[in-house]
Amino acid sequence: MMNMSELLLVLAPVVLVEIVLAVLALISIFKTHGCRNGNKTVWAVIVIFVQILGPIVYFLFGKGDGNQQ
Amino acid sequence: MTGFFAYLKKELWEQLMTMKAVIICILFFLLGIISPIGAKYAPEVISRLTKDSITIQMADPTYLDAFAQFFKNLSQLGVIIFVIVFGNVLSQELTKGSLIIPMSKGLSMKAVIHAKFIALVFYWTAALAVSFLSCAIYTRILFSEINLEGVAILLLGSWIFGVFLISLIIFSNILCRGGYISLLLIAGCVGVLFLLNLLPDVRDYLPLKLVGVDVASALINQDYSFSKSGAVTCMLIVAFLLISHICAADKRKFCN
Amino acid sequence: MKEILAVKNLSKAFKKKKVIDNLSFCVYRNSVFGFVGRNGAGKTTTMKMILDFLQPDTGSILFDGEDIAKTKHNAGRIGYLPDVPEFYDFYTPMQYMMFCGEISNIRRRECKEKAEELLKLVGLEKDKDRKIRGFSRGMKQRLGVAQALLSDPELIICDEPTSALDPIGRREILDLLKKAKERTAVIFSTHILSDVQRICDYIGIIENGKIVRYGTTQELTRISGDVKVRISCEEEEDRNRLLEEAKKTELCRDVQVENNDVIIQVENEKKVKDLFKWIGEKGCNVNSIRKEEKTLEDIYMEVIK
Repeated sequence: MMNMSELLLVLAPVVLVEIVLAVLALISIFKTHGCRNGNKTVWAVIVIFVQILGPIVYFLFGKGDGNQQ
Repeated sequence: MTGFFAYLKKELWEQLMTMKAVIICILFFLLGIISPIGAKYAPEVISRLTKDSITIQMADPTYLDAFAQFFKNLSQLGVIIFVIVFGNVLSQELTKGSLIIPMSKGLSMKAVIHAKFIALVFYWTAALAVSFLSCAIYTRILFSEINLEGVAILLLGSWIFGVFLISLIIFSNILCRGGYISLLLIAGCVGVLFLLNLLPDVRDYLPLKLVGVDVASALINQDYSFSKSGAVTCMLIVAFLLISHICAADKRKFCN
Repeated sequence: MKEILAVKNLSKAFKKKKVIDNLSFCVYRNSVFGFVGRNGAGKTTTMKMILDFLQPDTGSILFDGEDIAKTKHNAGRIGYLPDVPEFYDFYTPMQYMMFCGEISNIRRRECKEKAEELLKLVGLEKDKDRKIRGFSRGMKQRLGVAQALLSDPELIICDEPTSALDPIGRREILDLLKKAKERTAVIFSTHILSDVQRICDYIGIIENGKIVRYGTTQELTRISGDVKVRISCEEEEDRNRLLEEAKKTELCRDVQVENNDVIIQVENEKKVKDLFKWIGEKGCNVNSIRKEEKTLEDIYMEVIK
């Protein structure tokens, strides 16, 4: 069975990617005006709680086109 | 070809700024590291799940399994991700109308097509490199034995397959002039490929052959032949680009 | 004045439906041409043909004396502002201008100077390094004007630049176009008549693909037949008397009451003098007598009928 250091090695990059993605997505959510397909809060929740896939889905389908109206 | 370089610069910059390029690289990175991890621990997990009463004899996984897993993931997941992210690069601009102002300044549709194609090939290459590097590094760490001999040709096969898909994306976007129909057209074309793949006689000539080799035997016995499918794929790429080029000659069609 | 654009006998049909029918007009250098008509009258189609985005069925478009169908390198000489301009919203205005400049083959340094000057002209200098994402419609429209002027064009074409804007944004765009007139000729399409009257030198009214009136703003509001005179009376008694009398004389073609004023219509300019004399002879207590100026709206309604 894998030992502790191996486990860490395997998980570290995944965790890192998840954190970086989530932070980028959150910054984007709060900087732009409004999102497509749902509002900001919903997307923030998705980004935080759905690991990795959440931010990616946000960037592809939720990122607003930024009109002020 | 007025405005080709300006548009190419814009295109590369756009994919970075809209995070698409970043997302692709991150996903391909994950895809790269998941393959060796999967290869290493899948047998262990399976033996855990099956009760001790049945002992399944399984050979210890090697780096070959990691590579096999990698090329399988690449040809399925990787390609799907790429098409979903970049499948409407052109149709999106046509429906939005953001090409009208540059076109009123003399930008030609041909320049747009060429720039889009080159930008996508650039990002496909980058994604492939990222994902193979991460895969190789992880394989080295987890298996402590790795031999890269013969991998280059397999990578080349996957790369050409990706370029083929990119030309298909451009072609369908030009043909459908916007909307999600172009994605359907891409899916349809790939579906036809899979159907044709069922016929043993033509199988060797299809682009799918490029990503459907038995990796282990290919790496150990040098047992593969890409010449037929590679040639056909290259011809298809040229054909798609040529048709797109001809369709784009009359830019009036895209300004309304 | 020298003409920059001449449209001659232009026709265009979409699937047998004639959209543009034997249309002719011309645009002079350093003037604003107002292209007025209701939605679907054929304004946008005409403009697209001038830009070579559409091919006319018959007729010709001469730009600076040359047929646009035969000359290929007009791109930098005609600027275009679409009705809803779409930009790349990850760019800043400055970057977008540089992008446009590169397409138009303007040298980098020149382009930068020019872009800065134009962004100042349209009032975006403070926002020139902000992303276009998040710009309001008015700001986008102003950037659109700047973009159209970038390559020092001899003609810019603005497709309904004011119709989606609030009153302030509208005034800004109109003032801008007025300023742009010093550099280039402007074609400006709209269905808002007061805008046209404010800035245009020449007006063409288009209806069902035909130009039904064409001329300078003064010409259009001056000519065409009958003149209305508005008389406001002190007492209601006087007003009624005037009304009765007016109905009897041949001088008055039509008499109406509007907002407690009597409005008398006479045949033409020359009869106005006689009418004034006639009113004087009646000896009513009159507050004011005024010849009514025709607004463009009156002309428009007359023509469209």
